[in-house]
This record gives sequence, C-alpha cells and structure tokens, in this order.
Amino acid sequence: MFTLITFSKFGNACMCTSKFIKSLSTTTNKLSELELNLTERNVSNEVAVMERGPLPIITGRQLPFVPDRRLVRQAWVDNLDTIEEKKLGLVDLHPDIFGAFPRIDILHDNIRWQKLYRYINWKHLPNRMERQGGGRKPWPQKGLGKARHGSIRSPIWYHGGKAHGPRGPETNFYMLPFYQRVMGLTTTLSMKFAQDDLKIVDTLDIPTDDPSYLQDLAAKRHWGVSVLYIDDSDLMPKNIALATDSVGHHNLMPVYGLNCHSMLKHETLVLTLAAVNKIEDKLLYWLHTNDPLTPAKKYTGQHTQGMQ
Amino acid sequence: MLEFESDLSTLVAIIIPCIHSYVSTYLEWSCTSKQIQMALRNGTDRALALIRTLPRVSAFNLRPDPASRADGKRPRGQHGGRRHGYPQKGAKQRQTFPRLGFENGAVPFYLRIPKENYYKGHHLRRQYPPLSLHQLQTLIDTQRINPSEPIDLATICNTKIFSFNPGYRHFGFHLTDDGMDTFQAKINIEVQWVTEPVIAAIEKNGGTITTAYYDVESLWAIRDPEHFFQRGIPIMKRMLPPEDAVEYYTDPKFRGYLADPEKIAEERFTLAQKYGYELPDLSSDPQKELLLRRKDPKQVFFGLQPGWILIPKLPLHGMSPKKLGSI
Amino acid sequence: MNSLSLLRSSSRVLLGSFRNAGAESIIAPQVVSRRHKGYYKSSVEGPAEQYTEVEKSYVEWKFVEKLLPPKLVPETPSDPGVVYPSGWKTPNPEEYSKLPYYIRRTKNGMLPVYYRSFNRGMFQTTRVRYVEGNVWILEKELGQYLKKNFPKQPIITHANEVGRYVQVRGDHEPMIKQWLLDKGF
Repeated sequence: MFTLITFSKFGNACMCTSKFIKSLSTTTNKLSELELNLTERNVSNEVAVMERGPLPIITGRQLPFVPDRRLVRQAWVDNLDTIEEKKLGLVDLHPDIFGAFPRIDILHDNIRWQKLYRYINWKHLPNRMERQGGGRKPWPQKGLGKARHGSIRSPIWYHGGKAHGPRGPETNFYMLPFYQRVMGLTTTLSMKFAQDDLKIVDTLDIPTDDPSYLQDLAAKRHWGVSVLYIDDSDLMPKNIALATDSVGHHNLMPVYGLNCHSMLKHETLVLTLAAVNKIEDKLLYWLHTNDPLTPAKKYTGQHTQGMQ
Repeated sequence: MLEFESDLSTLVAIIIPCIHSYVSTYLEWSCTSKQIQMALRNGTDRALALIRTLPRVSAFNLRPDPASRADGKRPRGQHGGRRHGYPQKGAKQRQTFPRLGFENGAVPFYLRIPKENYYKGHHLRRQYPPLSLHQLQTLIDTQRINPSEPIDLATICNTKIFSFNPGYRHFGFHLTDDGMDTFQAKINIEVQWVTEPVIAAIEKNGGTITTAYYDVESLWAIRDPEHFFQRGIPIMKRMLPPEDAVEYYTDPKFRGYLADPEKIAEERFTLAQKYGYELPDLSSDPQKELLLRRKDPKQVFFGLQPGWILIPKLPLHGMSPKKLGSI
Repeated sequence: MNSLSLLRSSSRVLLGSFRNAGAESIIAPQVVSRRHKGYYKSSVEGPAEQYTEVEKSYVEWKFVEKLLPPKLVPETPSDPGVVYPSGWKTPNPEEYSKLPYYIRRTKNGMLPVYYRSFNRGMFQTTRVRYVEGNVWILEKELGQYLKKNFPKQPIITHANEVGRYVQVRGDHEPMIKQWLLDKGF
C-alpha cells in the first residue's frame, strides 16, 4: 500500500513526482496485461469445446460470519454450454445475503430512489417578469370607467404570466441512506432466491453467438422471459456478448453494476460462481466493517463536519 | 396483554397478486427435518417461505410500509379551514409574545441573581471528551484494543467507536473513573487528562499511565493515521504544551510526559501508600519493555520520527502531480 | 535541487529587492504575492542546498501497520457463557437453544437493546431488535418479567413480526439486557 521513505528534511519534491510517474507506468502495464488477457479469452471462446474438471465442480464453501440458528442456503450450479440443464455442483450461500429478511418496504424505498434521483422535472412556466412586454401601464388609472391595471402580463390577464407555476428544471436527486441500499440488495437477492428466480452457473461461456440459443435455453429451463446475467468483471465472453446484443430482454451486467431496479426488472437473475463470491464478499464487508460511518456520511455533507 | 395473530399477513397485502405461472426448480435444503422445523419457526425463514408461495416480486407490485406515511386529513367540519386555534387578533395571532424570561416589568430572575460564569471563554478552552475505565475495559474484553501494545490516541480512535474532533477544540481523551473498581487490565496507556483515582486503578494492576499533550496539527494526524499517511506529507513534530498546560504536563502527580522520571517513581510509591495497595515491581516485570515504552516529547506516532514521509505506491484519488509537487 | 525549490529561492530574492527599492523606484512587481495561509502552505525554511540526502527504509514498516485500523470488526471471544471483568458476557447456546426465540448479537458483540426517547422526552421506549423466531412469546415473557419487577407500573409491550422487534414503553434498557444475558443471549 505504501512505501516508507525517510526524509532528513522537508522539501524534496523530486522523489514524490518520480514515484508518482513510476506508479502510473505500473498501472499502464497492468492495463496492457488486461488487454492481453482479453484477447486471449476471445480467442479461446471461438473454440466451441468447453473443458471442465471432474464433476461436481463445487460442493460447498467456507462461509464467514454465519449467524447461529440460521440455515446456510444451498443452490445447484448449472451450466450454460448446453440447452439441457446439467447440474455441475452444489454451492453454499450465505444466509445474511441470500436468506435475509424480505423487507419489501426497504426495497420499495430503493426502487423509488433509483427512479427519482435521475429524474429532472423540466416543467417551466414563465412568470410576469419573464413574459415579454408589460412594462407600460395599459391605460390611465382613472377617467376611462375601466378596471385599473398596471401591466398586460399580470397573472389575471389573458397571455399573462403564471403566478405560482412550475419553476423547472428541478432536480429530484437525493441519497438513500447507505445501509438501506445494502439492505435493498440483500432483500432483492434473498427474494429472487426464494422465488426460484436466481440461477447460478459456472461461467457465461456459451458455444454459439446465436441470439436464439439463449432464448431456447431460457424456455427449456422454464426461466422467466427476461434474464439478467451477472459476471464478476465487465470483460464478458465474446459469444454471450454477441448473443445478447440484439435481444432487449437478455442483458449482461458486471457485479459493480448490481442494483435493485435491474434485478427486479428482469424476471430471472443468473449469477456466475465468481459473481456470487464477489457479491458476498462485498456485502459482508459492509455488514461487518470496522468503520461503518464513513460510507454512511458520504454525500450527506457530514464527512466535513467540524473540519477546519 | 393480547396475543396477536401473525403480522406476516400484511406482507400478502402489500404484494398485488399478478397472474404468472412458473415452475419450481427450487432445491430442497439438505438438512434434517428438525432443522427445517426450527428454521421455519423462525421469523426470517418463515417470511421467505411465505414469499415463495406468492407471485413474483417485481417493480410493479411493491408498496411502501403502510405505517410510514400518516394519512393527511383535510380540514373539514365545524372549525375546519379556519384559523386552527389561533385567534383573529392579538398577541397570539401576531406572534408578538414578550421575550423569554420577561416578568411584566419586574426585574427578571435571570438578572436578579448574580452571574456565575462557569462557561466563560469556553470557545477558547481545551476540551477533553470522556472515556471511562469501564469503556476501556469493555474494549479490551471484546478484543477491540490489544493490551499487549501501548495504547495511545491512535489505538482508541482506530476502534472507530470513540473519536474526538480537534475542530471542536477537543485535545484528546479524559480517562474517567467510572468502572475503576472492576478494572483489571494491565496496560501502558497515554491519555491527555486524568485524575488521581484513575492513576491508582491502573497502577494497582501493574500498568503505567502517562498524560501527554498534542498540538492541533498532531491531533488531526493521530486521529486518523491512515488518512494522514495517504496525504503523503512529512510527519510533523509534536509541539510543546502552551503556557497554561505546562504545569499539568510537568507534574509527576499526573504522570506528565515532561515530568522527571525519578519523581514519577516516587509519586507511584506515594499513591500506593495513600490508596493502600502494594505497588507491583516494574523492574522484575516480564512486560517491562512494554510498560516503559514512551514516545519522545516531539514524536507523534510510535516508532515513526518527525520528517519521515510515507509515499503511497498507487496514485491516490484526487491527488494530481501538481499537488504532490507542492509539498 | 529541483525546479520547485529554485523557484522558491529566486522569488525570495526578488521579494527582498522589491522591499529595498525605495518609494521612488517602484517597478511593477515581478513577484506573485504569497499568502502563508497555514502550516502546510508556508514556505520551506532555508535554502535547498542545506537539505540532506533521502534515505529509503522498510524496517519501520511494522510501526505503520500497527497504526492502520482493522478492515473488519475484530472477532469477539467465542468461549460460551464467560463473564469478562467489564460485565460483558459471551452468548451461551446451551442455555438459549431450547427457547422458541433467538436474539442475535450485533457485529460489535453487544445485545441489540436500544432505548429511545422522543418528543422532548415525553415518550420513552426500549426496543429489542433482531429477534428470530416467535416474537409473540418473547413479548409475553418480557412483559411478565417487567410486571413482576414493577407491579404498580403499567407495562405496555408491542411486537412487530415484520420489523422483528419487541418494544416496551419506558426506560428498561439495563433490566432487559440483564434478563437477556441471564437467558444466555
């Protein structure tokens, strides 16, 4: 994380900058490595033969922080390389993540937040100052026998300004409390699992890039109409990327994009084993972190409170 | 006391039934029937079992908690739409009430009584948020604090349970005597303010205590060492205490860090005589090295000297080369 | 010597000449005026030639590690039913396993019993959270226990199965905590 450098006196900025440049170069090296991996992966996907170790590929896992008097959830690991379902193994799922209490009210708050925070109300009606003209008194105050008026853009006039109209654009952005967002994710995963809408597969490798393959597979296995495939990274296998590209109701998503709205919008949720590991790791981290208030204070303006 | 029927039926109410059929490929739990019974009796598992029998939860059949919003009743009836109890004229309508403490022209109470200004100059005084011996013992019992390491401000703040804010003129912790009768830990602790019985409680168990002053810059650093190291700036020198604090921090009675060690040894013996306990011998203690470990008066962190700098290996978020160069 | 310290020293010289120039020969100042806002913004003392060499060290890294906080909450001791000097007690599964309800400890190893006063202290409630199992039996037993201890006081209890909590009106936090500890939670 850090390198320790002892300075006898302050003021040598040279070391800092050279270190910085060095670290930058290491990141670029890593990026190029990733690119290499990507190309290798694509090449390997074009070969339709899938090699897998002896079955079952998994029978259990070591789960941390398992509470007393709660059952560890279990699920089959399926395959995607054939249309017929093959059971490849059995995986243990954490009861706090995949067997949490279904707080539908918290889930509703999450969905409402996801709809509102990006919604901008553009409605705008001009008031009497924003309408053109209206500066001159239309007729004298007295002597004409007519009602007294000072401006033709007064709200009581036809084509006048709006008195208390919508003053858009208005943002509806707000931040749902951090741990309600965490609870929204655990609730959604638990409910999807309880309703048989959560499937676990070994990888997202499929033998063809034909879009009808995934639809046949979903129909054969009695999945829902819309399916969301989730992998641990955003470098998806080539075939499934091409197969889902033209189909609106089969979508791919990395773990970092996981959210309540997308999970509920799709009827079936497909997680890879790597994605299961990563989701559990991340959510358990936030449920057991030593410093729970730092993310909770983010975006609320509290993190700078009392600072000089 | 009434025993109510299950509230879980409300869950059914907040999911609108929708026509949908799906085939269950749900895996039976591989566990004994007794375990399943126990689990189903539980609240969470029972709720999940109920969810399992209901239509698919989607974005279109969700409802908020019915009790989360109060029903807004529109004002109707005999006095509805009127002034809500506020009269048409007078002080109540115009909110022109007399000032707080006004006694109809008589000299009010707050002026009749001579002032004792306890809080005079509070915005300039140093403050020490309390940390009791009971809380410290609980932290040690729940393994939040390791008693085999010297305890200082960084140790206490790294528990993320207790913290202080130098922006509010907090200058560290005041170790209070609550729970001193049950305090059993043998520790080497450094706090900023302490009283005599607390010193006795710690030294009775064979531990040692020091009171030390930190200036504001060092306090910001030691409050969150990780954050400070990520800034990539040199570790600062700890400043000496201001004039009005010199007396306390050079006093061997309060185990000041600037006091003469020989006089502190004398005071340890005197305190043991006063409180009537046998002073454990430090020189023959197996943990002698730990108990006698002290910081230099100008040192902020244990083991790290002023002027040293920790350079993060990876570029940190928001830190531009220009900013790094200006150090 | 780097360019930055050069800049600093030259600006210092220029500043000095500007001051000594006298009122009549004021040229447009070539120096950007500097504001010493605070500790980190102030200028470096002394010329750059005085600075010694930089030394790299990895030996003291262990002291840095001790100063970094743990990422997760440290695990509490797992011996069942042990009472520690502070009065903190580990849960004992043997004692509570026969009960029809279960109260889970928080991640900090504490009992989830929370006192709350609201409406300027007019209402006081004590809530037992994270109840697994039958909240109704817990509510009944807790009410009976409190009624036995406070016979003249009305004990008003409330159980919420969806929220998984049992709530009592009044400040009963220490008593409920002790009661739960005695039951082995």
